[in-house]
Amino acid sequence: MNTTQIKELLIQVFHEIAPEIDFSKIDTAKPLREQVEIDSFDFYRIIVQLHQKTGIYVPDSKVMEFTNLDELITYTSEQPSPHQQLSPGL
Amino acid sequence: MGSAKPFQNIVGKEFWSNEVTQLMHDNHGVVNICQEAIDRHLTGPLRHAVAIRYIDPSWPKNPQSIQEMTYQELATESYKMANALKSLGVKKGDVLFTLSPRIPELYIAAMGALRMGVVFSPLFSAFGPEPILARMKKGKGKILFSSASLFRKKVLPILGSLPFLEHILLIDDDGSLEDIKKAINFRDLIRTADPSPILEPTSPDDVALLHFTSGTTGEPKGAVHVHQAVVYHKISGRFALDLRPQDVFWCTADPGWVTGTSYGIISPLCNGATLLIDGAEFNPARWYEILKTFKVDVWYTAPTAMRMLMRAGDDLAKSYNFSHVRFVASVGEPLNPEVIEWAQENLHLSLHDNWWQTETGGIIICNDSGLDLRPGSMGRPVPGLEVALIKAHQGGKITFATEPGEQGEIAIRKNWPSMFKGYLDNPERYAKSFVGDWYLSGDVAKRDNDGYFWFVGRQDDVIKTSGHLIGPFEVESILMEHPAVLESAVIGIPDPVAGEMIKAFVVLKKGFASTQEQKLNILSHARIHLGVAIAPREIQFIDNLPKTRSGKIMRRLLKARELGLPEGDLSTLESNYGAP
Repeated sequence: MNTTQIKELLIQVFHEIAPEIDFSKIDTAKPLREQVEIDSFDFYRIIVQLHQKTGIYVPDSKVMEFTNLDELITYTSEQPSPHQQLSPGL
Repeated sequence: MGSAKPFQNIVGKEFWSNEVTQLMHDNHGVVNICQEAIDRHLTGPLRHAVAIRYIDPSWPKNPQSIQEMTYQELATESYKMANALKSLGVKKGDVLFTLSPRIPELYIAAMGALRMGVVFSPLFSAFGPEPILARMKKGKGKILFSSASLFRKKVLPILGSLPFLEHILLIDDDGSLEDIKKAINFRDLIRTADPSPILEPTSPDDVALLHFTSGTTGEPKGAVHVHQAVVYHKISGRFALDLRPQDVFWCTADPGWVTGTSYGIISPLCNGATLLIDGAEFNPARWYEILKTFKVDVWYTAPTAMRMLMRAGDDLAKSYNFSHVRFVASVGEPLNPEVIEWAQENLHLSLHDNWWQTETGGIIICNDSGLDLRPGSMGRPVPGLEVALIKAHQGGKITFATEPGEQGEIAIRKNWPSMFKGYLDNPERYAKSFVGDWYLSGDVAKRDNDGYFWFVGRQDDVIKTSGHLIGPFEVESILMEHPAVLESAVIGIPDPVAGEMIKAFVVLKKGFASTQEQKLNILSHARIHLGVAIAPREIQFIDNLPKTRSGKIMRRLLKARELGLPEGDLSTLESNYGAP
């Protein structure tokens, strides 16, 4: 999955968990929680839902290292996509 | 029997009242929290010891960002704060609310206010405008201490509804609030304030702290605490948390909650410890680094945080050595035995659970350092307290649970020093919290053969999420302000991280479609008005709510159906509510 696809899914997940936030106003290169009101529990749920949508598992120990959304997106895009592996013919 | 400390045996029923009498005698009748927390150290060896060590969010990238304040320096800053309040015309008994990030100025503001006899009422910075309005209005807050950004986002929209508010002290004032007449730049105010020593001669029964808590029904209740509570804060810290002078102590609770005040500010200062404050949000690696770098001696944290540390993995945990940590305690909700075992194995630390509430003002039941730890138990009562389990009471007649394993409501014989002295403007509700000489906690527990208490559950419908008590009514009221919502019921559903997660069942008004978009619209409304800490995380539409014939929402039934549990007694269920 490339970064654009992942970002699109992330926008969807964000909308489902924190619909009051206008994602287009987030600078993904800056620390997220300095820009919007999201608590640790929200963020944890965002990661869980992103996993469900992409099939790509990001370990919690990794999640805690990210300082902004770009790092999450890049890391996720670098992992093999299970959907592609499972259904190569589609 | 567990290996009880000698302390536990020598302390009689008169212990706590004697301590208050002794303090009054020592201070010629004056009992003031700030005096015990700061002034007491100024003539002794701790005068130049570090009282506060603040870790800026930019640490460790910016190692220079650590700020320290000795007891003497904290005293001077609190003199300035108290004198500044005086110059503004603030009087004893007026209420100061704080809505602030964790920064040293918040602690100065708290201490300066208490020094002046001003009531300190902390708010949690993740509250939205509505919970802030409900609390400030009820508390008739005269002064607000906040940051410009939090103020603009959360208080400005409700400012018109706060007629009692006279002064707004702002840190990081960027000039954008110039048109707000009541706004004052906090740093300028303190810089030019009189640094002369000052202390309002408060009596033991003068109001000191106002903490808001939630019940099933009605608005949040303002629990009133008085200056003599300091006796309890100090000694219970020593007993239940093993606090000693010059310990590095880290309480991870925000001062916006009662733990973050009783044991995050007052108790460690009274005991001459160094208070560690982390200005940043939770992050496992950062927390481990803090424990290690600042050589924490005593650590007071919460089950949610421990569960998040667990999720961050064994490898990270095992890469540190925490042998300098002498004592770790946890509060907020029962600590799962598996978390205790994990910490033992991976951090080589024993987690000591304890139990108390906003109303009790301090730790009541605990696993203290001298007790053999029983994972899953909240421990035994603090010496000098009488704690019982009440099975039933009617017309003043009380039936106690006396047999091991018997369940009952945790009750404490009244008049320990930090017991709350009232619910603001609600004497009826206060009176209902007692039966005879006993304060009724609303928490149900059982006791084993050796006197250890084991938590069973709540008697009411309050929700415990991330260790915080949330009243369903406050959440439901805001949901009902949404134009599409006819009525709603809010419950807590089990969550592996937060303990409970807030879920709302919503009945839509006629003509509104139950679409995903509608759901997100309501969720958005709730998060904006309530703030992320109180807003539901999940919304489900439902055709009608289960109610009793007298019209009360049966949240218990919703919860039972949600979780597939036995539905219990349904004899009062209104007939038009069928199976979901």
